[in-house]
Amino acid sequence: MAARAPDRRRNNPPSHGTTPPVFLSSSSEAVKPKQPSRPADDVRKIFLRTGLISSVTGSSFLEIAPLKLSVSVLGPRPLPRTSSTPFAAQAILTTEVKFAPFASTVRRGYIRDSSERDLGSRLYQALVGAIRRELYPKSRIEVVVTILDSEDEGDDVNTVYIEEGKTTVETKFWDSGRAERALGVVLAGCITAASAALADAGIEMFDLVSGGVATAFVDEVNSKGKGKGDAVSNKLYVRDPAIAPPEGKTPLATCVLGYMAARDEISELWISGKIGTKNGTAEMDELVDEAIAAARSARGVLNEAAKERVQFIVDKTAPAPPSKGESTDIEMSG
Amino acid sequence: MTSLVVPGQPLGPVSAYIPGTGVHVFNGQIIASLVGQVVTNPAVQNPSSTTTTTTPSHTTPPTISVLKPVLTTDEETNATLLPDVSSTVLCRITRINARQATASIFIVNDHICGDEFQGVIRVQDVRLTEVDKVKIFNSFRPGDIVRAKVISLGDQSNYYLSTASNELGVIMADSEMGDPMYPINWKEMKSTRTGVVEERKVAKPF
Repeated sequence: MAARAPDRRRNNPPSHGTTPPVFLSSSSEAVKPKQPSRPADDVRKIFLRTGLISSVTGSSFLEIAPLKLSVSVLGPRPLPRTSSTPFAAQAILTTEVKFAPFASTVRRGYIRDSSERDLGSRLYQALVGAIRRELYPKSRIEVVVTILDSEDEGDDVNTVYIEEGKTTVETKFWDSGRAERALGVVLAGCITAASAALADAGIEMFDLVSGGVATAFVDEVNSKGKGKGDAVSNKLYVRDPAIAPPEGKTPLATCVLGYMAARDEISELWISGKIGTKNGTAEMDELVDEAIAAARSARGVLNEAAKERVQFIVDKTAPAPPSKGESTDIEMSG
Repeated sequence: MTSLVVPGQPLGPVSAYIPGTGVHVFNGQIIASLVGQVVTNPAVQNPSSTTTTTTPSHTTPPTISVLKPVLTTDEETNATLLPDVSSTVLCRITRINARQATASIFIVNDHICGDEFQGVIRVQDVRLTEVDKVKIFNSFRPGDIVRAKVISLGDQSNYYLSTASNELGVIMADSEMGDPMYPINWKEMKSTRTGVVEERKVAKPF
């Protein structure tokens, strides 16, 4: 942002006149968050494409309903020539997640806030084990994620407000897992898209990492006092949850993970909420299994997206094989 | 049409293949680590057994590797290429002092790298014989294009290069006046315009 410093001394109107915007009159009823119209064990359709940014080593673009993000991979490039940088026998991975100012329902700033830094470190954890870093000594690999659109409501909503004189801690929304669901979907998308971008960059990896997210819901009555013991029987696991909870349900916990399907390894696990407090780890395992299932669905798309660009190059460089107009379109469903 | 593989995809057991590039071994399986085409180099006959014995012990298994195809337009540039020990590089001398010449590596093993890497040629690595008499100022000048070999990954910032071989040394240089020069022997180059002779550690022309 090397723009000239704004003129603060005068009122700066545009050099030519402007027309005030005219909006449609808002409807009287409050806008309800959209209910997902798919089964709980179904994931949203994923659009994933690689190699869209030519100036970087690898790139990808991902779209899952409202979520839109692009990933750039730079490197392996030489380490900066500062005396503070130690010798690195393995490549140094840096990850950066940034919401565009317009990406959340509440406008965000240009400076990275805490949730963006948090997503960045979680993305690092998900990817660092999958990259064959020993092949790239004395270099760094940068993964830069720009989120263009999401269901996230910004840090103001994510923050817990404590009013003076009150002893209880309340969130702004009655739905405490709201921010975690929104950020979870974002993180899972980041992981999947970053893997595709790394594959596009030609950086050697042990396995592709795909992101998956699942939320456990219970009936609203069960969470409020009586009948709490029956909560287990009424549990509803939703894969790839939308920000709006299902009718009459209240969220228990959300699980996001980075999963390497070919090796059956979890590289990053993030569970938030209240789960596994009563029946040992059994319910937590169920939740993790649901998230793994979501990650497996994403892996199918990831595999095809990673191949698509390479197939394009193969077709282009091949001396025009007599193919029968075979469609290269890929059904990008989970 | 050749099929493509993705990282994590098993290609075969280690008993049947020798792992090549773009693959790794996990649990006795050769696994792809790149997106690309599988290339299998056929089994090489053991040279000791020229008689055509069909016993499998005399043949080495085929090498399996995964190659990422590149567009013909960016074939020469390889963004993920890094200098390694014993790779031959082309570099441009950027700074010189009495102890070493600093160079900027831009070609590794005949491929243009995405970023330039910094390397140094220390005074003891300039030539093979009479190492004590070498003077950096009489071997390289800033702007020279040098063919060198990587001898070490070096410290945090520099690759260590060596020109201690007949084929290594200055391949292109301009005189002090800025005219191109041609080599006249292993330690001197002559200006094309003025005929002035300058000292360099000259690479043997092929």
